[in-house]
Amino acid sequence: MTDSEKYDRQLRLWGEDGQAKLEKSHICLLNGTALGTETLKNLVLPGIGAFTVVDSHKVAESDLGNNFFVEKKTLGQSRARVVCELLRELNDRVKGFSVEEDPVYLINNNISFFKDFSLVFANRIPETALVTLSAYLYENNIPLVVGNSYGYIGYLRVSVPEHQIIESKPDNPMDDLRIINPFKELDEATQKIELTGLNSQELTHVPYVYLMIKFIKEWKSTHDGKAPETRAEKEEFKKFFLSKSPNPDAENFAEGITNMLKVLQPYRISSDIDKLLKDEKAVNPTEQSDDFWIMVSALKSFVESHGVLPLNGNLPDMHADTCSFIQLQKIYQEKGIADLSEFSSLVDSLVSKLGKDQISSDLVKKFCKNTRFLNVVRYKSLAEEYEKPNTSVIISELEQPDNNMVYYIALRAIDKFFSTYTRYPGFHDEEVDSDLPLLKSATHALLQEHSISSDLVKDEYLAEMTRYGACELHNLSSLMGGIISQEIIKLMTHQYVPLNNTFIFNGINSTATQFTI
Amino acid sequence: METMDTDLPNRWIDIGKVINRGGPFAAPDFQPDTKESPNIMNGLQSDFKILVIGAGGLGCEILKNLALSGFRNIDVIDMDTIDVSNLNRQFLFRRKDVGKSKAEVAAAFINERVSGCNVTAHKCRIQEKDEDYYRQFKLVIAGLDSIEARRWINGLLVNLVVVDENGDVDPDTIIPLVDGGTEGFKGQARVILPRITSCFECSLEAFPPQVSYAVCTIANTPRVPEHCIQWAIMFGLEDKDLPKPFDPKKFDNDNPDHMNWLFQTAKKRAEDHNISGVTYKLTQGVAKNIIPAIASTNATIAAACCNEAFKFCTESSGSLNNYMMYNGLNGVYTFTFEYESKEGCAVCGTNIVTYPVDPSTTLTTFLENITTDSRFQFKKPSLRCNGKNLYMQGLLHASTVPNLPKTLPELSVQDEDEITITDPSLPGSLAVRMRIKYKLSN
Ligand SMILES: [Zn+2]
Repeated sequence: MTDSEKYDRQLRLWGEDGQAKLEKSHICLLNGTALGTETLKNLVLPGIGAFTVVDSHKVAESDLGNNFFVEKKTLGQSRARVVCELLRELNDRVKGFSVEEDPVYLINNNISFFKDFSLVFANRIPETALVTLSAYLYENNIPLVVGNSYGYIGYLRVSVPEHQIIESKPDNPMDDLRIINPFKELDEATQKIELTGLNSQELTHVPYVYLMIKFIKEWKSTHDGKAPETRAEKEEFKKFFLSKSPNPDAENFAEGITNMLKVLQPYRISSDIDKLLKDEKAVNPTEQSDDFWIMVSALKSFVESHGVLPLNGNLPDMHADTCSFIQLQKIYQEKGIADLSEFSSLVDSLVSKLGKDQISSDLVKKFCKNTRFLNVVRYKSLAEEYEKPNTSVIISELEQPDNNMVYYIALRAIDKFFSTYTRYPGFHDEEVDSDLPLLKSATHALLQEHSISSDLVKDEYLAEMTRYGACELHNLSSLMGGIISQEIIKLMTHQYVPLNNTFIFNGINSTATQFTI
Repeated sequence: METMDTDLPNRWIDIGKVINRGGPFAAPDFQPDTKESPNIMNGLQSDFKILVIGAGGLGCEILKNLALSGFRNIDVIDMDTIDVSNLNRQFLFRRKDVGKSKAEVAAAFINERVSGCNVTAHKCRIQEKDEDYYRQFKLVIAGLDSIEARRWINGLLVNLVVVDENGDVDPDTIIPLVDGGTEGFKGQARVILPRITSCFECSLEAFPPQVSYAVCTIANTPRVPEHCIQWAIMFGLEDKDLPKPFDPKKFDNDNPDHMNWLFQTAKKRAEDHNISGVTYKLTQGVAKNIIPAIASTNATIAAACCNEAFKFCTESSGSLNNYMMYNGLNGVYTFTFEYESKEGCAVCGTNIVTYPVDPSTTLTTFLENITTDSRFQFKKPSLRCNGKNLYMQGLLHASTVPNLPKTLPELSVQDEDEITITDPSLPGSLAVRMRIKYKLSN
């Protein structure tokens, strides 16, 4: 029995490379609550390298009512140690450590404790300590994830100065076919094909790429050298294209029509990639630059001399006979290899100019194959958010009926409430009624601080939050644990695109919203 | 059995806050528990029986979630045994459990870990249980990957609802079906109130059958590695001239020797056609139609389902109306909406589907059209019209074969006539009624 069998269903998503990154990561959890253990469960199962639980609590009766990683016989024992042991049972390849210490104490007295973790996941940490932790991690480029499971409401916040993604793996990526701007080798191969000599059977076996390139060229020759641009022209081109079909059922022609609008789009580099190429870090690489930005900088040179990104070199399956398909596939592949080799030498010369170590050829290759989907996400620190939140987003969301932003505001107000009274509103049955007005004042003060009208947060939401009294329902913790672990996997593997920056799940009606606050 | 009062008074203190306290978003009939009448807590601990279908990736999560939501009477049905590739997410199983019943191992684990919880395992197919069995549950949660099983339980629960002659539904006979499904980073959770909301069958189009490759491509013009693997499955297994170390009639996806033979055969086919990229892993993926699965998505979807189950039983909050789509590929995207009932739904609809058809259509073509129509997804349909068998499966099959080349009018199907279609994919004795509407030929 090997790990590749056990991990088969996930390797099909993030591959050996993503798995290796996951296995190198060490995640620190602050407080072994239900939310904390549910999140770690989904990280231990797919095989992170290690985790550490920091928690000074003892296993309480209430833990037995919402936390799967405690047992009745462990009542009164260190919660850090108990959850750590039961989580480790899930996967013998994962190392688990427990630290019986109050996270707030560590933050205030020994903050360098956090310097070697790959990521810190904090839950139920009071605001002041959280801001201190956030500032330290931000400075040290360590991702911080903050989560909360509060009654029927879930909260998630991700923060790291800069997160680089080579494999963003979009859902339905466009193929990189260059039909509208064929490269020399593709153009020449198309010229060589004589459609007139083919019988109708043979004609239905020509890949649509050739057909498109040929007929666009023919069209251009009678339209001042211009490809179809307007809607009317495209409609007319469609008729023209179909008139060449030997019969109405020809699948290659049908494929051409299906893809026509896509392939007639003028070639352009997406605005996201363009923004990366114009980034200060790409324009002025230094000896401090990391591999990613050196490669972006080399990409910038490539684009400056060619006007296009390196070709990815993959050809999707399309209707054709085996031989023509393989031949066309080779043309794309070889061009992909040629572009890669040119790009690699640009990288090499930049690296030696800056006096840096070589970048591994595997990494350069992966970068080169994915240049259309590069992504850099930059996050605000928590301190910045608390001081200067994106109030225009907050206000416009609060003005929507049934919005989930009210819960963000309520949770922030609850943090303020906790700072003042060192308890959560409605935590004790006998204080539910008297805590509600206190929470209202805390909310209004918070809104006022950021010049937001207090009419935008209706009392009923605060009454609902007071009702919860900081209770942790297992379902909400498990749901948020699923989402948080997924975001942590994205941050650790540098694949897919993580949330930027805040997420609220509303378990009352099962809706959710993401905000950049 | 231990109860909240005698054992650990503070254990359910968190749940207590939402069931002992009223709130602005609770269901209209919500009556918070009091010390004198803890009705909801008693319901969770003894009256509400919940059925979980599937003890796989979703099922393990669902069982844990229900147990930690205070439910104590839980049944789980799953006929599968544990495979090593389950271990990356099905967290109630360990390496030593490989080969054992999923339902039994999962139930034993939950009962051991969550004191007071009583999960009963059934290692069988859902079709082996009768209506009386299903009637005992307050609610059913399905965490299945099989569309067929989901259609079956949906049909059964819709049929259990008693509707009087005025069309009024007896609310006591409604057993909600909470259904979850995942694929990689995506999933969906939904609440079906039989005869009230849309049902699973209404949304069949949202679950299109898997892509199939054209047979002629597989046979004549393979281009990508998948074509070669399909060839090995479709033609290689049947080819008597190809030596095999096993009986091809007993081909088994889970047998590594069989899989290796398939891989070698596909590789040879690929080499003959200059195609590269056939790997053992890809061969397995194509042959078993493997769908990627991860712990995090299963956790999210299962919890969304159990949250709805808890709210339905306790009435302590609003509810999902009635479908949530989830996609975690780029950020965290969800879309919650009301999936509407489909006119002419074979299971919950009362209307008849009108089906436009050209009068020159032969029965063969008609059969082809309706079996590939994603709204119905028939497997082996039988067709009757005006009391006459047009096309039948089973014993009567041979007698209807001569009808195949005839056109519908030749078979005395008139404009506006109703064809009744039964199919093994439809639960019980349900049938689709299709009104034929001839298109004017030009
Ligand atoms: Zn229906």
